[in-house]
Amino acid sequence: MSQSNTTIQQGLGLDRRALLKASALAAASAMLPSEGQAGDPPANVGVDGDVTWAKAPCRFCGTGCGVLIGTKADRIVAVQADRDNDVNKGLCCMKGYHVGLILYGQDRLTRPLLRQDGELKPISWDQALDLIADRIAAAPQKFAMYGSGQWTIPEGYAANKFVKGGLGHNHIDPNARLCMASAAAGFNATYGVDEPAGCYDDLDHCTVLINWGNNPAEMHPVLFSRVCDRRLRGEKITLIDLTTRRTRSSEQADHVWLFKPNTDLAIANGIAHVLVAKGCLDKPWVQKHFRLRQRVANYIKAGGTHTADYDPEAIHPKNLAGKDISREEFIAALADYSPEQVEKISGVPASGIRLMAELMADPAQRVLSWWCMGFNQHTRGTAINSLLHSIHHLSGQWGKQGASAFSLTGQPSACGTAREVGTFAHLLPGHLPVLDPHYRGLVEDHWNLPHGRISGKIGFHTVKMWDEFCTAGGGIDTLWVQVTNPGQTLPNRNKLFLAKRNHPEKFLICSDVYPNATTALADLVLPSAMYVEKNGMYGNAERRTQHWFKMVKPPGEARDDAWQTIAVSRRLFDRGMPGMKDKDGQWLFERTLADADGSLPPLWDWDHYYDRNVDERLFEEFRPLTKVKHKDLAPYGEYVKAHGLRWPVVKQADGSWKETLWRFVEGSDPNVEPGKGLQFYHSNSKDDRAFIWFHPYEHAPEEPDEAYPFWLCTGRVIEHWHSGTMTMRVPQLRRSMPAAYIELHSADASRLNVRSGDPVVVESRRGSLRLPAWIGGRGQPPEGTVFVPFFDERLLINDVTLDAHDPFSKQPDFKKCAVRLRRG
Amino acid sequence: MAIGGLVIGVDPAMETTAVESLRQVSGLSLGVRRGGRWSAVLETTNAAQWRQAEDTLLAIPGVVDIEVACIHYDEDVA
Repeated sequence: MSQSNTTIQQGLGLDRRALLKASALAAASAMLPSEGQAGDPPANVGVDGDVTWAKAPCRFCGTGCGVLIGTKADRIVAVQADRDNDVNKGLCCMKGYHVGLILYGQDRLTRPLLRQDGELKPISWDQALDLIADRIAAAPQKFAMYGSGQWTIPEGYAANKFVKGGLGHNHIDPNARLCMASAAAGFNATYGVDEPAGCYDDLDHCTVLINWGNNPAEMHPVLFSRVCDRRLRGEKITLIDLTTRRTRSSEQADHVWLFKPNTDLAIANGIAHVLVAKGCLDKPWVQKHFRLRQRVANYIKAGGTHTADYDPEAIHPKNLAGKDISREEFIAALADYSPEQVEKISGVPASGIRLMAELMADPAQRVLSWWCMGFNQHTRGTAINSLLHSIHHLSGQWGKQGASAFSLTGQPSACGTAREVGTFAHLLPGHLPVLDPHYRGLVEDHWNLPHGRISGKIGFHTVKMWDEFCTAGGGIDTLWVQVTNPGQTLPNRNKLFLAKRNHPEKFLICSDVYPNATTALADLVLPSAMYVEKNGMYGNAERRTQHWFKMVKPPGEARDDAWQTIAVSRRLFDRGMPGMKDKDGQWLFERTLADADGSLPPLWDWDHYYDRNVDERLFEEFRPLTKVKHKDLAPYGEYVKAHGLRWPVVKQADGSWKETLWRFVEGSDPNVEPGKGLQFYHSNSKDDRAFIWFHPYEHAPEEPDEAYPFWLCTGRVIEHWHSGTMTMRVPQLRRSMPAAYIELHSADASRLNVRSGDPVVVESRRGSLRLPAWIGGRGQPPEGTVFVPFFDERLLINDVTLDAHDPFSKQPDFKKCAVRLRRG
Repeated sequence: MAIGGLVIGVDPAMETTAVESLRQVSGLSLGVRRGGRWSAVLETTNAAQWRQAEDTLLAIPGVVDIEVACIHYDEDVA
């Protein structure tokens, strides 16, 4: 038995065979039909009668599956899927069943570490916090926080208040900028407010499911299984896979259409072209509820041909909502996108474009579109998100059970913490834009801050933040990273991360649980508590907020991220920093954390942090701000009882709290006035209408040419979650997929004289990487395209990728770029 | 070695005898019963034996179907 397995076995306090049997029995029992009522304690299928079971959302992706964690003697000893959670109904994917093991890798960070003479050496927490406070006090405007869609809601809220309310600037951004910022911008552009109107229940009602560049069989397997299970039961569901390479999702599809990277806008326009020809614009539904819209300007500079040639001066956030376009102009704009023309651009057959339009136009069908990083990591990400909503509006495939346009997310709280808590550089809690003085005043009053404390200037977004940090004299000189691994996940890594090596005056702080590509360059490393070692709340992709309680102690000196933020804030307050005081001179978090009688326990002292439920106090302060944009959250205690609730959650006459399945739809959304049918009550045009957009197809910022003749597409695998910091430490998952690889087509491989397993060097204008080839494997790209996953910290494809980004969402397009190959 | 979780469907009219037979199958541990279906853990020395064991289970009178919830193939555990 390997050393690592021995350690995990001992860590769990179980014989390894007993653990496997326990988890196998848990998985089988979870599949049995439920006989109990929701809220019943789970059947104890575990090891013995000493196991304590408690609920939590899974730690990994944005699906938000419910799991039941079994603990014994301060250790996780078993995991089973939560059959009372409507997200996964008693199923998990292979990562979820192993989620308990992520705590017990051999190399957990357990002490603060400071880089001295090139080496990370242990220091005390007091020294570490003083060092951070020193850096911030010296130049608060040059300090930034880089957070995460894995921050819990209270953690993100504390960090947001610390920076925006305390330091008076907005240099805080989550890694969700790399993940779903384009989806958020698309929702805002189209509905005037962010996040999906539909929910996972649509998977149980759709008759047509279209994958738009996503691979749900690997990335969202539990959700995909809901549709596959229906087909196995004999239900007719047409599955269409629009993809840049054949994947496991393709194996299930009725139609697989490969398209050239970046041509998704042309495909959407092709469908709109057919829908318009079928008279959809004249439907009362369209005329009553929607306006036709286009962008305010052609952003490409004169002489340019690619989105890399955008004129940034022409693009302001206020342009997000675009301008009206007449019916005639709309029809004329789509004239260039006949199915035959779209086939030439995209590679999708004209018959396929027509079929999708026919299905959408058929009122007997319920069409669900879903997408993920392929749409979002895109220099036209906002535009393609908006177009997808638009074809659903045009066709009427919207606002009915099973008919929706749904954006998937990749992180467990990208929606909850990045979007709802507003940890983006342009937002305040409740998804309120910092540009709006009314909202700034509202939040200042809520936080008891003097007016003017919150800056009206948008902070540095992720790409800009790291560029400023990695540039001599740039606007950021101290950067604190929490709960994410930018050293692996930033695009164009040489420019945006590794260049920090050239600037010893810059100071990188990293709070994390394991050594990784970010800690490798950090000056100060702080050991964090993870997952059920702390209290938490996450918000998943379908607006569902979920809660868990701390179940086991963190190892060594590892501590909660929210505590770290609060402790630094308190130190700065004790030093007299004006920003850490409210307008009465009290500490920024005094009113947040004080008892009902006004007394303040010393919660900034770790020994007292769990004397109170700090999460509950942070959440209850945040909660009123969610009502402004009608994202109402219920009181903390409701989430303790429930297996998740989808906002808006509204109190009923009998005192109960009711969740909302479909927004903007009368009968489901309590904010819709009677008789309206649909009501887009945050409409950008202030008339309760959403938009039907036209956006032209434009070339990608970088496309294959003579020097770099291949498309590189990047992505994920089912075994590992994002940068692999957690899943690569689970032996079962690591053995299942031990290393990154490059997929290529057999014809390309033949020309390169490469067979599976042979080394291939992939090289772009930014960097290169040597990987083993995989030909005819799990994924099968077409000729001229290669694919590399990004989970392996030893083989970092982001040395190769591109950092060009969408003008509105600021999300970089590192899904694709031009590369050349050679046998390595 | 292979360890996996199963859900075994049993004909209600033959449940008593079927369960009695299941209890005799080497490497099979029955778990809980809900809705006429049983959770179970099956442990065999390798993947080939696993497949044979599945066939054995399906041949038992009264066993209607088998669903596999998960399998761990673990070469490190002797």
